[in-house]
Amino acid sequence: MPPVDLPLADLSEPDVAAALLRITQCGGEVFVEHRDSMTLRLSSGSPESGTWEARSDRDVGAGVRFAAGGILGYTSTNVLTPQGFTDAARVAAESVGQSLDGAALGIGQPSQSIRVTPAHRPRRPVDSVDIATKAEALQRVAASAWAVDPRVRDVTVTYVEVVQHVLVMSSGGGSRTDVRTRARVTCRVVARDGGDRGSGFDGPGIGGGFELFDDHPPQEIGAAAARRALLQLGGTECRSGTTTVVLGPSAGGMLVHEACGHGLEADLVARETSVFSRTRGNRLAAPHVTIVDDPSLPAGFGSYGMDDEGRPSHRTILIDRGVQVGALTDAASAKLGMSPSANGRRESYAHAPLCRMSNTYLAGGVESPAAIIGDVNSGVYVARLSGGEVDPATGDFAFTASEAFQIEGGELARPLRAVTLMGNSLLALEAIDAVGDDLSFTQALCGKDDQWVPISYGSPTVRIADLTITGTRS
Amino acid sequence: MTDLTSALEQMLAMQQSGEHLEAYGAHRRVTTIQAGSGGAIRQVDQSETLGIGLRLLSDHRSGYASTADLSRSGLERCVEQARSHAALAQVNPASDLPAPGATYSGPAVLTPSAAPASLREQLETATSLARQASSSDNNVRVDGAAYRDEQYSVEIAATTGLRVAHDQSFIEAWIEVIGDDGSVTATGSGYWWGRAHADVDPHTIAREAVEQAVRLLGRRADALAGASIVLRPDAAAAFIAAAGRALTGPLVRSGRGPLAAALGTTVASPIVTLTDDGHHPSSKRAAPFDDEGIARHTTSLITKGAVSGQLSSTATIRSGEHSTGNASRGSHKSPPEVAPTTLLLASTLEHSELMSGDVVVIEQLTGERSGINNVTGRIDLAVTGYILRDSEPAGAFAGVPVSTTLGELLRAIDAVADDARVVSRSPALAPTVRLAPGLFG
Repeated sequence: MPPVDLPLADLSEPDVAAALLRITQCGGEVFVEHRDSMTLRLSSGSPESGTWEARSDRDVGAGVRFAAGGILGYTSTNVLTPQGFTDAARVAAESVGQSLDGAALGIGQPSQSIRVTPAHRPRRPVDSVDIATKAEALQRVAASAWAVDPRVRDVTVTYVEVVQHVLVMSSGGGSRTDVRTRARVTCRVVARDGGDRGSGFDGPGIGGGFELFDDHPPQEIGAAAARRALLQLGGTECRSGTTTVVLGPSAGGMLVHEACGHGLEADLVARETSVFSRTRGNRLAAPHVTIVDDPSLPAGFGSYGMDDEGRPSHRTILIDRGVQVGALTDAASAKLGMSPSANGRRESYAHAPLCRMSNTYLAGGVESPAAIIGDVNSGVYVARLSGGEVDPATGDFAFTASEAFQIEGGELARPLRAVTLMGNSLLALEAIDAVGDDLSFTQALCGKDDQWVPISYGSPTVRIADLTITGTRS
Repeated sequence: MTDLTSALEQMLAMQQSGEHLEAYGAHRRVTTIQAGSGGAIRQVDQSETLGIGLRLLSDHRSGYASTADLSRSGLERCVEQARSHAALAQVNPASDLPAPGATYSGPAVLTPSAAPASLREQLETATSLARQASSSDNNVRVDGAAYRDEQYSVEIAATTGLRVAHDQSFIEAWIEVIGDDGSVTATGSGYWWGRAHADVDPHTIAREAVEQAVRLLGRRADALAGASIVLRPDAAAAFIAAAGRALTGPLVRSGRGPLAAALGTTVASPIVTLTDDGHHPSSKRAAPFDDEGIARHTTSLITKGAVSGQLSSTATIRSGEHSTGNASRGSHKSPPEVAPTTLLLASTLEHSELMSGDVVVIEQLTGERSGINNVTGRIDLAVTGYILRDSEPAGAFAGVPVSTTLGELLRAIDAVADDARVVSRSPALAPTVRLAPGLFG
């Protein structure tokens, strides 16, 4: 019997196991998921009062996939009985012209049974911590935000924990299970000064448990979000134009994720709908630029022991000392002649896997951030980006800065507001002329084709020689 | 009695003294077919999900939990979680579960659900859509085409006696194309929704996408100072949706939010009249009741430029107020939040009148997800489109940065066309909108 963790123990029932085996012997792949999550939110319009909201969810289901003639057929269901699995498999098989009929039932055993080493090893499992302790941590985050300045007007703190057990069975890959545990806290602050308003955010997360708050003290989270909101009050609106831009680790990481990572997902590369479709082997950046995706990072928010197609996680180099050498593949794109990575991920059992990033980062260099900024006579320093979009086909991007400063004479000067960065992925890569030694990671959720998965992006401080920024219309 | 109905009733029977329970059950079946260049089918997804979201009120404290495990033990666990979450919440004297309402109205087109087309018919439609676009223009290739059929049932049951249910179905078809003339790359998209498979017109959807991509190719336009700005529906939808989200009960009452708008405040030009319609037959979001079981309404939000109303749910109203029927859940996992149903901007001109003379036409936005700040109302994003000079195409532009605020944009609206249409993923039936010259510099 395949080894399964307790929440999936019913899969060991003989009739269920036989049904799963039959599906895989017919060429199908089965993905089973058991997910428990909890969200705790504190919303406050004053330091003295707040509104609590708590909710929990249990989601259990399976997805069955067949492939034939270049077509993928996928079916998902909540009904985890032998009949439920069989019915789902029949629909998926028939959608690609295959059949389950006539297949022998439950003969033999899978060739391999593997429980992969989890990427997440919680030091404080979330179910070992009571809700009062969790609530107290959120109260401390909120209190630290309110304490920063009387212009703070709204504070919302949200904590989310997810424990996910997955099993993947296929005829070629046997049976594998993995456990992923993630915890994340976000703090959103609104500050007001007369009619002027600013918003700030901080949102650390880990692949792990409640040790989140040991690694990220609550008082630092709330204070950071509040300071970012206050920076937007009375900030100077910058002049639009092309200038030298220095990106802090968080901002640099988002640029790497959006402007490069998505374009290097193999499904887009293979369909020639990525700006990187024909650049493999080309020098795209200076030798100090190396970009990596690594789902095996310990405690990484985007980490996993295996991807959602059962491939053990491993590091993939995408750009090696300036040269594009790799792409992120799933099983389907790997068959198109690309080196297989372990990046087939899905939001849940209700979704077929896609090529997705995990923990994507620009490797650290040797320069100090102070030296990188010090070499800039006039430019802009962007500490954080609040979001943005990239068109993978053209490489054009637009990002909004939530924390930015004017650089004058090699020093950070006045804070700026309403700064947007515009550019092109290939041109921005080429224009990176300095890479710092302060690599760090930011956690987030990434959306693609209406699927959201947890990821992290990382970067040290980087300098881009020419980037378009926009501020006021005047 | 369906499995879902049985599970809902089992859950309500777990009520304890001093409690009220509201169980929201959703059963969803979705088929999505993806096709690529030349009409080749890439993937066929068929999903079926069944789940319940529970709201438990105990002494005016609310707790939420949800589950896809409809076994007896799964339901019991869900109720216990909601009970423990309620113990954490504050007392909110205004919180109450909806009582059974009056009869629910709505156009007959909402019910009953249409039976889905066969898989073979769905595959043929997706193939046709991709083929039509693949063969339309030598400079255009297909990025992806999709056909989606969704059938869902919602049942809401509460210990107050509320029992409502409705079925819905709709079909969507969309396509994304990439144009490349050797010097410029541009994208185009086409979208359609309806309720009957027979109404799907792959040719029209493909043509819309190809024509958009082709419009954005070619020589780059020179700046056109002093021209009016026209937002095509895909672009206008984002701003209309932002205005709708800004006009919810708590924000209007407090005079805060991106429009800082209390009732009666002027927030837009005098020609702007915005309503939210819970029953509009041209919207896939139309339903007889909202996700708390409250009858949907038509709510006036902005009348001749001034705030005239707000959207609410039972969780956001104050004592003495009535919900506008705008409670919305993303799925059974989400507690209800206030959201627009279908936003309508009253038209003032025919479409052809907006597209004459010297006009800057904005077709696409980049960075709108974060570029429209729902707290401060700031708008910082990039726009793509083309220019009309004396009503004739005079070049395209891409990725031009613009900065303004939601309030400034609404005040700059000086005409609204009569071509409102559904835009993918937006609550707006968005028309073409004209802005006065100079807003974007």
